[in-house]
Amino acid sequence: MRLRPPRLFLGRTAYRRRRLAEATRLVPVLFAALVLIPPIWLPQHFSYARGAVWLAVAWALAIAATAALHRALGRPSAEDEDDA
Amino acid sequence: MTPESLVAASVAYVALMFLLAHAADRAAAAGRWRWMDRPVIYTLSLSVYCSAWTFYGAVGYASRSGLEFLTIYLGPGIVFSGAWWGLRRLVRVARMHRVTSIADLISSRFGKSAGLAALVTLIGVMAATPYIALQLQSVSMALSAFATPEHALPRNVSVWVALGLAAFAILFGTRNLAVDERHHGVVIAIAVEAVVKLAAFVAVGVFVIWGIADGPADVLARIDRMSVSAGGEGWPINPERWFTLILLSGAAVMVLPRMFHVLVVEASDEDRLRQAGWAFPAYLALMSFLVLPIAVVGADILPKGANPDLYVLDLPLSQGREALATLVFLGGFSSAMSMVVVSAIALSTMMANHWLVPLWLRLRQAALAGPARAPEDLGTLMLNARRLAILAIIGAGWLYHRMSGGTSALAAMGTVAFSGMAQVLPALVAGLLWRGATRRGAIAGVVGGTLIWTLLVFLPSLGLLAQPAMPAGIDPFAGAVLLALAVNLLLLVLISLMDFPEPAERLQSLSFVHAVAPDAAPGDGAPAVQPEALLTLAGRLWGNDHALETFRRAAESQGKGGYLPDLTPRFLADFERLLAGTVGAATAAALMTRVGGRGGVTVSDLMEVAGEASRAREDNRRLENTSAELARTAAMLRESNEKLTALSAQKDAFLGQISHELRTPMTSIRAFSEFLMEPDLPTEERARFAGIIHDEAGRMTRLLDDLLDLSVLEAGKARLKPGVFNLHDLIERALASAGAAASGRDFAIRRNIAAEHLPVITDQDRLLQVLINVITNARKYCSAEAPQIRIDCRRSPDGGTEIDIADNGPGISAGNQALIFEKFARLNDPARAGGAGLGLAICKEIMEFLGGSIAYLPGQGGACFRISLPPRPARRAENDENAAR
Repeated sequence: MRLRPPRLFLGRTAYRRRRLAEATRLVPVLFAALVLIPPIWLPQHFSYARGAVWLAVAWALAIAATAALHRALGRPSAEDEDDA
Repeated sequence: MTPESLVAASVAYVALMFLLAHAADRAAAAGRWRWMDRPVIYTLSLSVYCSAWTFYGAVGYASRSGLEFLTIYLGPGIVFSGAWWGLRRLVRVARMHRVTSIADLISSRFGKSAGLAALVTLIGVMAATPYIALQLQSVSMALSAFATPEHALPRNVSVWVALGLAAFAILFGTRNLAVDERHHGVVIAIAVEAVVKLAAFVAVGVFVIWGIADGPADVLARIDRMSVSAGGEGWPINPERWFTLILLSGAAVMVLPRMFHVLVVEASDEDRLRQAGWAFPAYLALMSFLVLPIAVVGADILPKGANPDLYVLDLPLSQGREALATLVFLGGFSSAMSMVVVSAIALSTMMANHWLVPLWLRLRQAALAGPARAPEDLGTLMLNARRLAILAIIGAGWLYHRMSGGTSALAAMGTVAFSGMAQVLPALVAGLLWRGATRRGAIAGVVGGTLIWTLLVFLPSLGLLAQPAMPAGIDPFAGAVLLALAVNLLLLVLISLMDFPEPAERLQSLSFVHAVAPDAAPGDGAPAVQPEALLTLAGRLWGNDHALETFRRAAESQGKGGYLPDLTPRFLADFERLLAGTVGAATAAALMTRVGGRGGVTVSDLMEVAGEASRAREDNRRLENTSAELARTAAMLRESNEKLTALSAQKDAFLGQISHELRTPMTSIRAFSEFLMEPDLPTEERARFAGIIHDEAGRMTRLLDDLLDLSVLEAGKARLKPGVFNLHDLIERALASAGAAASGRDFAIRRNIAAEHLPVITDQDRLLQVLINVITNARKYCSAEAPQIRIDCRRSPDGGTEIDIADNGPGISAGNQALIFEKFARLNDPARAGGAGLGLAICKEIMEFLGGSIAYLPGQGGACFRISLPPRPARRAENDENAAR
């Protein structure tokens, strides 16, 4: 089995990439919270126009954040392939 | 537009897509497919998620239930915003294992289980049935919207739609047996259709927002008015449905067979998710937020009896926009067509790989490895199986459409499909994240969840069972789905926790969870199979040319010519994975077992894997040790080389010295003997000259004695005469004779007399020789103002005796310490030494002969020698002595 021993410390570029990759994990969590909690908590406030605007803004933010992060991540370099 | 002209337009549109797909396939076959392999094509092909349900059903859904329709798009939006972590991993693992479908992935993860693959296929087919029915219903509904009393709709229009779509799917999905299960032509057609449906939907959306309503603000105001209008009863958000539907749609975007196909199987690498991760949600957001204005404006201006599912067509028609309505119809048709075609391809692959071929293999026990008899073409068999499967799937969809009466709301049919397929989600997620998830757990979970879904959701949707009775206040659909998923997950976890998986399964779980490439399975040491048999099998599946090319490349990579590679475990594993890319992992494993007689993996094989890894580590450590040892040896060699060089120089110097030493007395002997030859020499002169000659001859004899002594000791020919003596007496005698021999300087002798009274068993004369030599050296070389000699004696812990003899002179420099015991070594100026420089070399030889040692002790404030005696002389010496007696 090709289990590489994990490297303990990384250079600046690889370090930044790791943190960016972690940020991409945060986006779905935040987005899910924005989408799930307000409508479930206060359905009467989020069932009409306000809800539509809220969801549209939240989604637009999530898309923008994902696009920015994916752009910043760029193509994976060969040495930074071991994620997790 | 009449329905007939619309049908004609649809046929023309299908023909156009056909040509496009055909051209793309040809370009791909010619190797010019790079331009088709772009992330944008991939992203557009993902829009197969937006089927006729989105196109027609979402508007109906929105006008009935308000914002709830958004859940169907928010779920995928959430999943894709985490694409970098989740989907990328899914795609990478699936590509690593050349997975052909969601059923193949699950089966491959859980030990290439054929049963699990068949089960997931069953769920896929069951769940797809209402979904395909939805598409057929939407197309016939859309056609009916154009119908007028004078242009009645032909009966059974849905049959014709179904047949047409089946034909398209068969033509494209089963043209040849792709090695990697990718369909470039179909993907291009879907991408173009994605553009068509987006354009149509944007056109109608813009028309509604700015043509009928007064811009976005007006639309928002209309939305708010729904809270008080008659049609708005369903609008308030139902929290449990909100949560459940987001969960379901998030699952659906991964586990629906068609989504899995475009998302995973058609992906040539995982990097394209970088773009798709935001572009596909953007596509979804655009589509879904255009739904709201169409729904609210349609509810406001269309007659109360109108079918909300058709607002998207009815609105342009009511405003007399025939061209726009035609575009919308084509957009809707596009979305239905792409969904049905991709679903049919994905599901037919699953059915053929996981149902029909295993069944055929079971029925035909004939040896597959035999020479290829012409009619037995496995490839054709697979293709025919898929064609049959496509017909069956679309036929089942049509049947569902008929049974459900063709009147249900589209969205209701879609959610049935979603909730069915979602039963695969726990197995998928657990399989990718948890190594402990086992086959039995997955089967139990999927079976349990699917049974509950069938009883509480699927059959009631067909009208075969009553709607389930849920406790008051709980939505029946959300309750049933959450119950099914909870039971599913619980069974999966509990049974996995109690289970002990088979070794093959544990290998796969390691590979899936850690995303490491599957290595050659252990235990494949000596396969009984011939390479020809495998080539035959491959030829039957892929055609001879492709099979030969694959084998030639494998042979080449092994450094062999020809077409028959060695059947290394690596090649066999790769070959099985290539087969899996065509027929699925379970079937590939079965084929390999059948053809090659490859046995299963055993627990001890698994331990062997761990053993190999640790052996590799062990080897590594040994290598490191060896190289460290080599480095040490090299250092030692260098050291001895330096010593040798120094000694060689010393020896040269010594030869000069000894010649000089021998020549000086020789010269005086010759000179004085010449004087003696003078006849008239006075007697006293004659006596003096004779005395000088005698002394000089004595000096020469001593020198020669020393040399002789040394050579005797070195050759081991000396005789040992052991006895018991008091060390004190020996030291007394040594001091006396050294004092007698030495210069007249006064030395302070510091001794511990009491400690000297130690009995020693040794050769008295030899030890005395050493003591005298060391003490004489001290006397000779100690240049201190008030010279003193210190003698310490003690018993060593091992019963031996240690005698330290130290002076307070300058000592011996570190560089010379290594040389002093060598022969011919003389450190100070020769004039003062007065000897031949053999003293310490002789001492060393003697001490070794006595079984002890003599060593220089550095850092004692002067030259210090430690003479160590063993408790008794070495046995070898005694034996020699006995033999001598």
